[in-house]
Formats: sequence, structure tokens, C-alpha cells
Amino acid sequence: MASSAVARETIVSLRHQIAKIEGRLAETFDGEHGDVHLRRQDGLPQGDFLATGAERFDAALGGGLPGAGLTEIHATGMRDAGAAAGFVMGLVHLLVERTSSPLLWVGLSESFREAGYPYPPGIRFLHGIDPSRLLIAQAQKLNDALWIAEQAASIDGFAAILLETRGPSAHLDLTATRRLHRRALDAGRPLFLLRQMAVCEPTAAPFRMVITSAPAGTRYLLGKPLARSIGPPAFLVRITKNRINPPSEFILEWNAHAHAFHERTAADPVVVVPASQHRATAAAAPGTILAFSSPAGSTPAGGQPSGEQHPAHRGHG
Amino acid sequence: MVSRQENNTQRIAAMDEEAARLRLKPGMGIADARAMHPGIEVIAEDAEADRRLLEALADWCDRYTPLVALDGVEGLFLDVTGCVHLFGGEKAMLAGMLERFSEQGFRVRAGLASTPGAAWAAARFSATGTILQEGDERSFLENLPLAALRIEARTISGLESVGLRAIGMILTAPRAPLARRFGSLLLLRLDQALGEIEESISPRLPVAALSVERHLAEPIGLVEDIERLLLLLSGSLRRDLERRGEGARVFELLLFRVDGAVSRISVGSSLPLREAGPVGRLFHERLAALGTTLEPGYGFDLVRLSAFETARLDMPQADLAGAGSTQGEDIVLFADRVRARLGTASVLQPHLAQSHVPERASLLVLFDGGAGPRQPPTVHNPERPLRLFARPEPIEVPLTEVPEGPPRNFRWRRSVHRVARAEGPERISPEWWLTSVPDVEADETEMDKDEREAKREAAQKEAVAIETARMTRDYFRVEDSEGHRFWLYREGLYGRQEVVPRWYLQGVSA
Amino acid sequence: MSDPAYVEFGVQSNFSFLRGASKPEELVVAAAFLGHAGMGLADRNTVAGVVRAWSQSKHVGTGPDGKPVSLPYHPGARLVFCDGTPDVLAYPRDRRGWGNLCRLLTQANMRDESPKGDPHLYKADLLEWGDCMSLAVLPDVEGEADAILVLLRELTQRFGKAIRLAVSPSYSGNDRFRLDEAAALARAAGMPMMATNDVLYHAAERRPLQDVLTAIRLKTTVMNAGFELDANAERHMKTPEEMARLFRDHPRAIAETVRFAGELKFSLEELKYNLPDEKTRDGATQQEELERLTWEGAAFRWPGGIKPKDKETLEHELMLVRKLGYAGYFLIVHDIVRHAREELKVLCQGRGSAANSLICYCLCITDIGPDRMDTLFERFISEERGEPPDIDVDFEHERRPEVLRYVYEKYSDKHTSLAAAVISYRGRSALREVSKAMGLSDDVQSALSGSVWGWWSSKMGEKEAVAGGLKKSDPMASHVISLANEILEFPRHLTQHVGGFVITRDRLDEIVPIVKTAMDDRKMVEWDKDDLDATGLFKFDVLALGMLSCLKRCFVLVKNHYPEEPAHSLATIKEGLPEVYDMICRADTLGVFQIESRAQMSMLPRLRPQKFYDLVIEVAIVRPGPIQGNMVHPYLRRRTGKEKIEAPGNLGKILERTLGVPLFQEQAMRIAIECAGFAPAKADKLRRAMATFRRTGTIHKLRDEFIKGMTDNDYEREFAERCFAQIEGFGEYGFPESHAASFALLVYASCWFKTFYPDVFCAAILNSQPMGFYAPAQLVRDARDHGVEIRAVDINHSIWDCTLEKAEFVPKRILEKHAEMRGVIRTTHAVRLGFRQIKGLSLENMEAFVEKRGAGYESVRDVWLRSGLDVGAIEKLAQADAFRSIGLDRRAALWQVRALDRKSAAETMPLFDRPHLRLRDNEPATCLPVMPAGEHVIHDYRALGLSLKAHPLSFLRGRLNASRVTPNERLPDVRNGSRIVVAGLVLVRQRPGKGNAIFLTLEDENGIANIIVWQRDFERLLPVIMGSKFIRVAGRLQCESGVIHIVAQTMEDLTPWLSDLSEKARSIETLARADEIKRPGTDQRLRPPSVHQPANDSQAHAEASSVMPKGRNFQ
Repeated sequence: MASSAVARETIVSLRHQIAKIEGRLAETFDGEHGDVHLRRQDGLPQGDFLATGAERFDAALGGGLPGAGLTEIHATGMRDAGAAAGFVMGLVHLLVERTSSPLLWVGLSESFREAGYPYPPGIRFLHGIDPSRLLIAQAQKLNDALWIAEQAASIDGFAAILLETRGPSAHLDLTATRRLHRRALDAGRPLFLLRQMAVCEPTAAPFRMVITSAPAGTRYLLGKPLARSIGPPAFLVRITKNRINPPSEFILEWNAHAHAFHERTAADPVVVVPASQHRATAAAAPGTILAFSSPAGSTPAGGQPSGEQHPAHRGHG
Repeated sequence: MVSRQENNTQRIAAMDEEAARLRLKPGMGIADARAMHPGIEVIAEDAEADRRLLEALADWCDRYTPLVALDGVEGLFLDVTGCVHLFGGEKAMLAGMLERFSEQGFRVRAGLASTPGAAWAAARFSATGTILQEGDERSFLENLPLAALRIEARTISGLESVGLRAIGMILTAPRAPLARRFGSLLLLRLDQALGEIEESISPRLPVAALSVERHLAEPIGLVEDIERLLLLLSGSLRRDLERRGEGARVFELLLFRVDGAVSRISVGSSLPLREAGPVGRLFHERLAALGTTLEPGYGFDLVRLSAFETARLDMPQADLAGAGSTQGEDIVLFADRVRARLGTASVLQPHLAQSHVPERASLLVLFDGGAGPRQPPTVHNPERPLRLFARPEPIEVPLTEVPEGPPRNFRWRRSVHRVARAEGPERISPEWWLTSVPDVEADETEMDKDEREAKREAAQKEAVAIETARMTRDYFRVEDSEGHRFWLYREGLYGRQEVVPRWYLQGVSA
Repeated sequence: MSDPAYVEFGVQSNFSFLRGASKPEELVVAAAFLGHAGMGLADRNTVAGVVRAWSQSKHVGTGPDGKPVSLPYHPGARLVFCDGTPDVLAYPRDRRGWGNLCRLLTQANMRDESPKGDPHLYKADLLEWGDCMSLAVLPDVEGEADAILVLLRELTQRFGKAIRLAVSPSYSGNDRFRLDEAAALARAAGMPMMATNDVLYHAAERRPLQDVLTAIRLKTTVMNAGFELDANAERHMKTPEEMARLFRDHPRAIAETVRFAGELKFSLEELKYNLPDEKTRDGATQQEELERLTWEGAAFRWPGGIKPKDKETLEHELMLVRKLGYAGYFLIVHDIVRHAREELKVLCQGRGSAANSLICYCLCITDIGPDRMDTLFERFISEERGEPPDIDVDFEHERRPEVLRYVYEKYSDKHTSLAAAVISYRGRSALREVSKAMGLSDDVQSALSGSVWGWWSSKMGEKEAVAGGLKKSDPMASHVISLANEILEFPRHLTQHVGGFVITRDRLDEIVPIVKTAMDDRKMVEWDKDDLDATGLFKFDVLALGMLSCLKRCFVLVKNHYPEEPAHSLATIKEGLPEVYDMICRADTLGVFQIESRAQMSMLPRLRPQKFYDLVIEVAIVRPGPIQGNMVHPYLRRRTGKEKIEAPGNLGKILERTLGVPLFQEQAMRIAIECAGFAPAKADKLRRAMATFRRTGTIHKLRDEFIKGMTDNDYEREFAERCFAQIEGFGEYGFPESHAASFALLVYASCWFKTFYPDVFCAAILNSQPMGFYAPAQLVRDARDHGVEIRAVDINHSIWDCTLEKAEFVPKRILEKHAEMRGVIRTTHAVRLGFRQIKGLSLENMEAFVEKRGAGYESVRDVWLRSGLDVGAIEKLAQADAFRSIGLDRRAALWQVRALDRKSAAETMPLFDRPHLRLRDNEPATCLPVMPAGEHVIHDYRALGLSLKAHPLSFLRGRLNASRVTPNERLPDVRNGSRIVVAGLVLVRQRPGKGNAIFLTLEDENGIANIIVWQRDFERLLPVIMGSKFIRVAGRLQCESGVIHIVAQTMEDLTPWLSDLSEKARSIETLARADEIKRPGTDQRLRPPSVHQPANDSQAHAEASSVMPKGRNFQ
């Protein structure tokens, strides 16, 4: 496993270099907002591209994720907040690795309460980001969160900024995103706008992606997949706004050991298990099945309780 | 009483009058003292706190003279040469000082003399407030014990062992044999105390290049008032700096509180400053950042502004806080700004603790401006979710395996999730030392005391076992049929009548 | 047996120090209770716990037929490597496998880089010694699979079918993965997978204790131990069903444990009886040799011919020895004793169950012959118990190493080694370490542990918590107390037994692993005496006894200074001299062996020993056991004829010598056997139950059986109960008669010297310090009370040791209270104190000092130039006032010493090699004040611990008289029962037995006062008792049989008075008292303004009184 990951990383970085040599970078940005003009004053684009390791995905973005400016990440349902955060942290990982600067995660108290606070041990496990590199700012109001993000974008200190909001908001219009984008471009830092339960509103961000959870990969045992195991997390990534390429869709896996994305292909022995098969897999688990009477009083799902049945008791209201 | 660790034994370092009445003595072993009086209350000495207190007192003494030196762990030297007239003469100054200390609740002994050595002895071996006139040192010291000389205990005991017990006996003895036997420090101290050899004290703090201060008849406490006063002071300071053609890189604001506490606030700048405006703005940020940590209490009655690290300043000064330029502002200042605007709880940093219990393993604490938490390196890196809920959220689990299987499905926030895959359990027991051992009363009718005690203990063990079973969590990583990954747990083990397991969802994963 | 069958092999007990949290016995019982088909014990690189588990495994319950049920048990070890190799469980299959395991562990233990108790083990060791064992490797299955596979394949190649892959569920969330991975690895490596739970404790409730152990091991607190602690409590013994459920996907891993067990045929039983053959003359057998030596000895002991009765006894003993095959054992002891006595000239004496046999008397192992008392063959050897005989030999404590060296040389370290002693948690250490691990502050820790007055294990509870300032209901306190109770008797580490040896015929390191001790040249085995007993290995004790050193010095001094005296050995001291017994009856026994304590002294005038056996009883009766068992008073009453002897049935015979009161362990055993019908093995169990396992509750069962047994034999129930209570009382501290007899001989010998030659006795005992109850000050004073002149230490007269100098003896100097001795004492010498009395001097330096003394030192400077002593040592001599012979008193000498360069003469003086130049110093004279006498006494105490000039209290007598204190010498004239006030320095505080009284000995310038404080007054008086050096006591005088006590009613600490002796106190009094700010409402917690505050009598007091002895505290 490890060796293949190393190989993949090498290829990714090679590809990245080739892309640089070919000068494809300049083409990937359009001049709609005069950004290109601005950046070309000194002859070089500010920030470069973050190759995620998933080649097709990088190509769709024109070489990788922009290293500066605003990128919008949407999680449509609240349940996808974990996936969206995991996906962004995967991107952030690429940045954090290059500098010693910390990462700022700005959120609304409400969004943290609803979707959970960032949990540094988990981030460390999955993305290898040291908790000491993480700073969290929380605000009650979106305006304040925007202010924090803007202030943060205008200083040199952060490797990346993640602004998390929840639901549609009039404050987060084209003007606001433009300001954010400008700040981030000026600072040469990426700013990720993570919008929970978002709807597609106009945005100044060059890219907008919608993230949904996809079934995880499996774990391997001496080269063989271990049935029913939960392996590398996977994301369904839909690029819904892309100025250089038509909208596209990918299933990306995050490899926690290699710290790289990897596109899932048909050849991967991955269980993208249809929902209908879940029952069969789960039922294979041994042990006694215990049924509780549901609070609504409906009949318990599953089979007949076995002889070892635990006395039924109240569930949680 | 206060204990101190000396060579592996606890000894009494200090104590109150109550303890003295019990015939306890400083230097006595705590164990011996306890053997005599099992009920005594012992507090471990906190040398650091004592030092801080002494330094605070030294700060306070700054009001009399900038030349304040620490003397060991329990004394202060004040060089009041040239300051006395400001306080109405020696006598008035000393009396005033003693009174103000006593108002603050300190018992202080003081002595004033023309040599540090004699003053030291006067403070300790004479009525407090003693003022020695120049030339009286010899006759004063003659009758004092050797300890009044600031010499090592070893030298004292050496002198005493040959019968030389009072300073007078040494004054009359031939000097050469003394120096030969007891070293030159003895004679040096003697000469210093008598003023035959000059001795200077080394002040604790650098003396400011320039400072201006204002005594206030009416103490102030509001930040606005402080800032207003600050502006006035920095105006005067500006004139002084201008006269010297200099600016300063460090400014320090000293706020002397009525009750003796001294707040010291300093700001630094990368370029020398002189103008009142920018200095004021720097302090504005700092004061705002300090927020409530600056406690005015009953107010400040003396405010002093000092300038350090002065340097030539030739060019007229531009306003540093001018528009746009925030170059060089670091994360700390950014955080200060955010907190100044949105409250201290707005910027947080993780603090990792070595605990198996997930919510205790990582806490978000107030950002302290440091370079991030220094975490001990750990190889323990278990798989954990990316996001954790502030509180574990109860879920309904209609179907599970006993004794320790994952749920088949569960209802969380009104929607049902079907579990497609699950891994676990990861079993985490409660941190037992935080729980209490229930006090079980044994049946008093039992005849044998040993037996009773044994039964009581068994009952207690049983109670602890039940409590443990009730509090133990089995964590599962599950993926639902839509590919969402959750971290949930069952609290309570199956198999015990008294335990009703409950399910919670604590986090979500990528 | 339950289905599925399962045997747990991954088991660590608390002999995996600070890791395992259950005793081996608990683990065995739990395994049996849970229905395991057997158990293996595998502690970390040690087999120290296997014998205990084995003993328990033979009796894990009682079957329906009343016979003990056993559990199949397999001793092994968990090999923990230092080179990254995963742990391996190693279980010997046969005797050779056991030998290999022992060799393997020994080899690792003995490595230079292995610290004591932490063997460095390498994979190569396993490859070298792993034959004839079944092995199970415990790899980290989550680690790098390729690396693991390489290792597994290597092991399969080397060990074939003997090796397994063991894996345990960890409850870390990954178990399915881990077990599957393990199965895959095992399959790939071609070895079976075996289930284990990697047990650290027998039940889940022990997890807190295991956490505490971890914290102690890592020297941190439980709260700070973090991830070093396990996340859960799963590493306990689980039922086979539970194991099968956990391994449901791998049922063969469960079955494999049974297959593994099936391969293990080794039992510790196979190690039994392994005694080397002693060399014999002309190829005789061991028995023949023993018989020859015995009869030769008999001819020596009885030149006039052996009495028929003794001959008969000897024949009986020899027959028994032959039958049991113990001849070799006697020969070994005989040889060692012979070598010590004849080659090394070391004084020694045997004791122990077999030592008082006539054989031992004939072999000169002991000197207690039938003329001193009837032979004590009662507990010689128990035929039925099959226990090896037990002979302990005491040697002069300073010369024991020479004896040990001989033993080593003779048997070589291949065949002999010291036994281990298991250092266990006792009340105090348990509380201290647990409270430290629980993060309690230092002073609470010391207060808690200080609250335990004894060293033994007893349950801790409310009392201790309160002493630590905690409430038992406080959660932390209840954790600490309950954990401390749990950790009681847990082994902390192994240390060498004081003198127990094991000697074997086979290679010792193939019988038991050998480990390092704290001393470089000594090695020990991993088993303690009980383990050796249980495995049937032979051991005997080479012990050190201070009194033997003292007696040896007595013999030498007598030989050198009193050549006409015929007593040159224990055997030649004349027995039965009335002068000696008279002195004993007067309790004039300060300093002698055993009967010198307060409790003993108060018993002597009542017991009035008249013959040797009385001393045997005296030694045995004044001990906590008999006192608690309420035997003292019945014995006294019967001895004085106030009570009839009550001993029905067989008891009469058993208790004849002790007037119907059971005093000795031998008697308890015989009562159990002959009156209660116990089988000998069961009687032995009773003894052990009373001695060690008081907490397990088995004692209750035995009690019922005992009483039933006696009532069945027609003893009255009440009588049987009383009998048992008496036996139980001394169970813990009981004293075998054979030991008491050997000790009594030394008692008599030391009393003999004290009676006739108090000068010899004084010098000898001072030269043997530290030993005994009393400090040199009291020993010197006692000698002076008996008229002996004591001369001060002097640079020109003393040597290191105290010596005798010819002097006229003036019987009139003997104090009135010892007047009877005036015609008895034969002394013609004075005692010159030696340099050893001066604190802080080294023997080596002072020997050189004496050697270079020549015709004598002339001045301080001369000493500095010639003696080679550094200034520090010379100053110590001056402090001790040892320059008097050259006309310098202490102060003058000190003044001169101060003038010396701090470096040694050799370093600074180019003229050092020309001391004859006698260079003089010229410096202005300094006038020093004369040192007052009281000050001198203080300095004497500081430097020497005693003063010959005066008693400190003699300076205070005026003040004492004024406060109506009666001098101690006048106590005999005070009417019994009257109220009285006495005062004195505290010599000894003693709180014997259950501690319901405290005895204090107070000394003034002319005598001693004995104070008793009863429990009801403790709370009130304890502060004074413990905190004072000088006490005034008001109380009531009680006199019984000439023993005078004062029952304390009130006490006052007069320690500050001692400061009156000091010159300083008086000089300071003249100084003005500094005023103090005294205002109400001052913060009481603040430091006083200055510790330099003068005229504070606490300071002067502290200095003067700190010099005085604190008094000694005894249990």
C-alpha cells in the first residue's frame, strides 16, 4: 500500500512540474475580474496550483486547485458537513505541508453546534495536520465571521483560511465573495468558503464544488480487501462552477497514510455498494440481534429476537 | 503553617502565631509536628509565589525611588538618596511607608541608615522604624549578634564555636587572625556596615531613560480616563524626548493601584516613536486587549509613563497606524483585534490532553497568543472523527446485537440511518479516579469487625463495578447506506441488571 | 469442565513488577472459578511467581469427596526482548525445557548491560535456548506485515511446530481487523494461531490498581499517565465462553490453547531434593560419615563417656536422618561451621528446628547440651511433612562476608546462590506510593504514611485517612485507602535474603534463574525461602548477629587483659552462676542480649530467672505474640504458685515445661496434632495461615476445625476456644523453642560479661555499635555506675576502637543501687574511648593517624603536618575536645584549627616532608572567652553523642528543685501510689504490641525514670511525647516486685530549658528584645517579619537542644 502511494505522489508532482513548464497556468485563469491583469503586473501569477493527486480532477481545474483566492465548497445536506470538511482538510493539508504557518478555521457558533466542532485528534489522524497548527475563530453573526476572514486574509500569517457558514445568506452575495476573493488573491493565500446546506448563489469564486459522502473504500489485509471494513473516506465531488471546463463529477478517495487524493476508478476493488446490498452485508455480523421497541410503538425491524434477548427498554426520546 | 522540602524531608518554613503557641518551631520536621498535633494545617511553600509577592512589593516601592533591589527572599533595599525631601524627610517617609504597608496587611520591619549593611541590621535587630544617624553605626552594631552582619551561617557558627558571639567582640579582635580563619567577607561586611567601604545596591529593574508621572488626588479606574491621562503624559514625554532629539522603542505604563498592586503595561515598536498620537494608539490596542484583566479595584493613584531604548530620531515621524499598511502584523495581533471586537472566546486553539475519553482528549481553549500549544509528542493516534459535537447527541437504536455489536440502524435528528458497515467496538472505560467510591454502610449487627469491614469493602467494590459498567462506552465507526460516516457509542455494558445502555452519536467523519 | 475448553497462557501476575495487578494465587483461583481447563503463568522475564501459583493450583477448591481439587498448571515466562522482537510466551515441555528457560533468563540477567531486575534479552537468546519448550509469539499485528512475516518465518524455521502466533483482542475498535490479520499472518508463516487475553489481572475490578501500578512504574500520577494507561478494563481473566465469542471467527485459536497445554509435561515437582554430596573420608556414604562425625563429637563433648539416655536419643536421631536422607544436609552445615570456627576463627551458633538436636550439639553446631536443658527434639524434622530440616547459623555480623565467600568458593556459583527475599508493600509504603500515584501532595502523603505506626500489613481505614487530613468519605481518600489495601503484600522487588543459601547438586541455573543483587559479587535465585520450601530445595541460613560480634570482642579483650580467666568461648563460660542470675533478677541488664528492653526489664524481677530454661522462657514470653495471647500473667501466676496448672489430657505432656501455657510454636503444632487431631500437613497450614494469610479468611475455617477437633477429643469447648485464641495470638510473632534456647545462651553469655567484667562489656559493645536498644551515652553511663572509669577520647591516647587501660578499680564508686555488685565485679581496667565515638571520622584515616603518631603529637599544627588528616577531620577532633593531652581545651584547639589552610598539608606545604623543622606561627594573640561547662557538655553531645564531663541536667537541677521535681535516684524511697513529679531526657519511646500503652524512659544525672502513658491519654500527651527531648512528668508512682513505674497524668515539654546550658542563650538575653507589630486582624498566614529575629528563644533553643539526642523509638 505504502509503496504505491509513494509512486502516486511522485507521478503527481512530476505532472505538476510538467504543467508548470508548459505554462498552462496562465490560461487557467480567465480575466473576467481583472485578476489576471493584476497578477501579471509582475509577470507571475500569485500563488500556484495545488495538485491533489487525482489527475482528472486536477485537469478539470486546469492543473489543480488555485493556491490563492476563494474556492467555494458546498455541502448540500447537513450530514455532508463531515465529508465537506474532510475534503477541504485534504486540500488544506497540501498547503499546510508547505509552510509552517497555521490554518485558521472561521465558523459560526451555529454551524459548529450543528455540524460539530473541528476535532483536532481526528484531523491529525486523517490528514496529518498537527493540532498546534490549527486556530479556530467563531462568531455569532455571519458579518463578524466575514470580517474575521477578511482580516485574516489580509495578513501574512496563515497558510489557509477556511470560512464555514450555514444556509443561504443575503450577506454572502457576489460583492462579499468578491471582497474575500480579492483579499485572498492579494495575500496569495487560499480561502475556502465551506457552505453547509448551501444553495447555488452567485459567487466570485472561480470554482464551486458540491461535496457529498461516498461509500468508503475497504481496508486491506496482506493485499486482500477485508470485507465489511471501513477504509479510506470517499467523496462525490461535483464541480458546479468552473470557468475553464464544463461541470464535471468525480469520486475521490482520501488516503490517510499517503495523505493524497486518489480518484476511484472502475478498476478499484471498492465496494460502492448499492444500498440494497447493505442489509446482506450487515446481517453477516455475528452475535445476538437485539430489538428494541421503538418509541413510536412500531414493530421492530429485523428478525425475531433470539433466545438471548435482552429485556426491551425505552429508547431515547 | 507552610512547609518546605529540604533534603527529602518536609520542614516548617513559616507559621502563624497559633502554631507558635503549640510549641512548633520553624525548621521542625512536618512529620514530627504532625505526630505532636495531628490536626495542623500544612500548606506547601510556594517559593515562586513568595518571590512574585516580593517583586510586587518592590514594584510598589517604585513610588519612593527607582532604585529598588531585592534582598534575598524576604527583604528589599531602597536607595532613597535624594528622594527623601519629596516625602517630607526621613522620618515622615519611613513612617508613611510603614503605615501604607500595614494598611495593605503586611507586617514590615524597616530601618534607615547611611550604609546598606547598617540599615539591614537596623531593620532586623532593632525597633522597627529605627533611623541611624551617620556615624552611629559602630555603637549600634557593637551589641548585635553576628547574624546582623549578613554573613554565612557557617561563618557565624565558626565564630560562635570559639566564643565570639557579638559584633563588638569582632570589632576589637585583631583583624589578621580573623581574616585568616573566617575569610575576607567577614571583614568586608563589617567595613561595609560601618561605611568604611562603599556598597551600592543593584536595582532590580533598568532605570528608565525618561519618565513622567502624575499623582492623583482622586484615583481613576476607567480605561478612558487612563487613556486621557496617558495622552497628557505622553505629551510631556514627547517634549523631553524632543529636547534630546530622541525617540523610544519601548514605552511602559505603570499604574499604581491604591491597594499597592502595580500593573505594568508596555508596548514596543519597530521604529523609535515620540509623538503622543501613535503612542496613545498603541496603548489603546493593548488596553483593549487587556480588557477586564486590568483590574482597577479602587482605582489608580499614581500613573507613570517611562521610555526605554531611546534612539536618535532625526526624521519627522509619520503616523504608523496609517491607512492600509498592516505589513508585519502577526497572528497575535490579529487575534488581539478579533478578540477586542468579538470577545475573548472568539479565538480558540486546541489543547490536547492525554485522555482516552474523546471529549477530554482535546479541548478548545482560549488562544493565549503563544505559538500554538506545545503538545507532548505521542505515538497514540487513534482513529477519530473530524468533527465532534459539543455534547454527544442521544440517538434511538431500535436494533442491535448483544453483548457488544453495532446498531443495525438508528434515528438521529429525526431521520433514520441504516448502518451499512460498522467497525468496533472500541471500549473506553470511565476515568475511575474522577468517580467517587460509593459509601456503603455495612450491616452493623455483624459480629466480627474484620468481617464487617470485608463485607463493606465487597459491597463497595460491587458498587464501583456497576458504576464502571454503567459508564463504559463502546464506540463504533459506522457508515450508513448513503456513505455518511458517523462515530457513535453505547454507554453501558450489557449483562448487568442495573445497567440500561444508552446510545449516543458523538461525531461525524469525512 | 465447560465447553469450549480453554487455557489462558498470556498471564502476568504481580511478579511482573508494577504491571500485573493480581497475585499468582488470585489468578489461579480465578482461572479455576471461570472454568478454564488449566492455566499458565508467564511473568516478564522472570519465574519469581510460578511457585506460589503452583502451590495454589494444587488446591483450588474442595471436591465433593472432601479432597482438594487441583487445576492443571504450567509454569513459564513471558520473554520480553530489548531488540524489538515481539514478546514470546515460553513454556517448558519437560525438565530440560525448564533448564533451558532458566539458563536463558540467567544469561540475560547476568549481562553486564542488564541492570538489576531488568534483564536485557535478545532474539539470539531465544534461538539459543528455546528447545524443549512450547512457544507463542505475540506480534503487533497492526505493525508492518512484511517485517513480522520475516520474523515469524525465522521462528518457524527454528522451532517448527513448537511455535504459535498468539493474539489477544484489544477492544481498540480494530479487533476484527487485528484477529483477521493475525490469522492471515499465522497462515502465511505456517504456524497455528492461539488465543489469549493477555491477562494483567484476574478480574476487571483490578483495573484501577493496574493504573496505579503503571503510574508508580512511570513515576508519575494516574492523572498524568495519560495514554500509558489502558483505555478499558478488558485485560482480565475471561470465561471460555467469552473467549470463544471474541474469537468466533477463529475457533481454532481457542482449541489451540488446549493443544498447547497438551504438550507441556513439566511440573515443578521434578525439582525436588537436590542436595550435593559432601566429600567423605574413605569413600564412606553420607550417612556413615555423619554417624562417624557424630560419635567422634560425642566423645569430645562427654570425655567421661556418654549417658545411656543421650546415646539412645542420638541413635534415634540418626535413624530418622537416615530414613529421610538428610545426612548430607547436616554435613554441609557442619562443614561451614567447622570452617568458620577453626579456619576463620569466627564466633557462630546454630539455631532452628534441627539445630538443637543432639547431633548438632555433637557436631558443635550449637553449645546447648543436655546439661543446659533437655534436648529439644520436638520439632526436629517432621517425617510426615517431608519438609527439609532447617538450621540457621548466626555469625559475627562483621565477619559474615568471609563465611559467605567460603560457601561460594566451595560450591561455586554453579551450585549455590542466595535466596531471594520478596520486598512487599506494607501499610506505610502502600499508602505512600498509592497516594503519590494519586497525586496527593507531599505532606498529605507523609502524613498518611506516617499514621501507620508499624511496618506490618494491617488494614487501613478511617484512622489513617483522618491523620492525612482527609475524610474517609472524601472520594480521593476512599480511592487511596481502598487501593492501598489492595496493593498490600504486593511484591515491589526482589532483594537478597539476609543469609539464606540454596545449594544444589545439579546446575543451579537449570533449576531456577539466577539474578543480580545490589552487590556486585553476590547473586541470588528468583525464589524466596517459602518458594524453596515448596519446591523441596535445600537451603540454610548464614545470618549475622551483632551480639556475636560483641561477644567475640569480649572474649578477645578478656584473653588479652585477664589472662587468668578461663572463659574463651561460649562453651567455656560457666553456666548457672548465681551472681549472673542475681544481676538478671535485679533487671540490671542494660545492653545485654534480648532482655534489655523496657518490657523485658520490667518482667525480670517478677519472673526471677534462676536457671537456663527460665531464660529461654523469658526470651520467648516478652514478645508481642504471647502478650497479645494473654499468656504472660497466667504463666507468672503459676510460676509464683498463685494458680494451679491446668492442662488436661495430652496437653499436660506438651505444656509441661511451660506450666501449661503454650509459648512456643512447637507446642502449638503439637496441640493441633495431638489434641485437635490435625494431620501434620494441616497443622503446618494452620501455622502459615496465622503467620501470613490472616486476611484470606481461611483462618476462620481452621478455627472451627480446630475447636471441633478438640471437643471431639473430649476437651471442653470453652477451653478449646481459649487454646485457639492463645495460639492465634502468637501465630504472627510466635517464637520456636529452638530459637529461644539458642538466644538464651547468648543472653547468659552477655550477662556473664556484664556481671564480672563491666569494663570489657562496655568496650566491646561500644566497638560493636550500632546494636541494641541503647545509645553509647547510656552504655557508658551504665559502666560508670558500675564503677568503671571511662577516659575521654584523646589524640595521643586513643585508637579507633575503645580500649582497656590498666587502672585501679574502686568498688566504692559503684552506685548504691548496684551495691550488691561490689564484691562481684572483677574489673581492673579503665575504658578509653576510641575515635569511633567521634561522629564523621573514617576508620582508614584514623588508623593512619595512629600509625603516624609516634611519640605523640605536639600541637594542632603538628597533627596537620604529620597525620595526613584534612582540616575537616582535625576540626572534628577539636570539636570532640580531644586535644586535652597537649593542654588545649576545645575552644583553643578550634581557634588553632581555624588558622590552618583548608587544603591538606601535603598540598600546600613544600616543607611537608620536613616536619622535624617544627615551624611556628607568629600571629597576634586573640583573647577568647572561656567556654562554660554547660556549653562544653553541649559540644560533647554534638561531637560524641555523650559527655563525660557532666550530665546536662546537672546544670538545671536548681531549677528542677524549684519546680519540685524528684531526682530519679530517689524514686525507690517514694511511697507506692503517691503523686510525684519527675523529669529527664527522653531515652526511649516504646509502643509495644497492640500499642495501647507507650513506655518512656527518662534519664537525669543520677538515674532513670520509667513512665507509662495509657491509651486514654495519648491524644492529650502525644505532642509532648513525640516532640520533646526533655520532659517533666507528673503522675502516680507504682511499684511492683521492685519495678518502679510512673503512670503519667500530665506532661510538660522542658526542651527549651536545655538552651540554658548554652552560652549563647545567656549572651542573647542581654540584648534588647525587638518590638513586634502586634495588631489585630493581621493576616495570620504571613511569614513572620524575619527569621533573623533575635532573642527569640526558639532559635537558641533549637541550636542547643538539637544537639541532644532525640531518643529512640521502638515498636
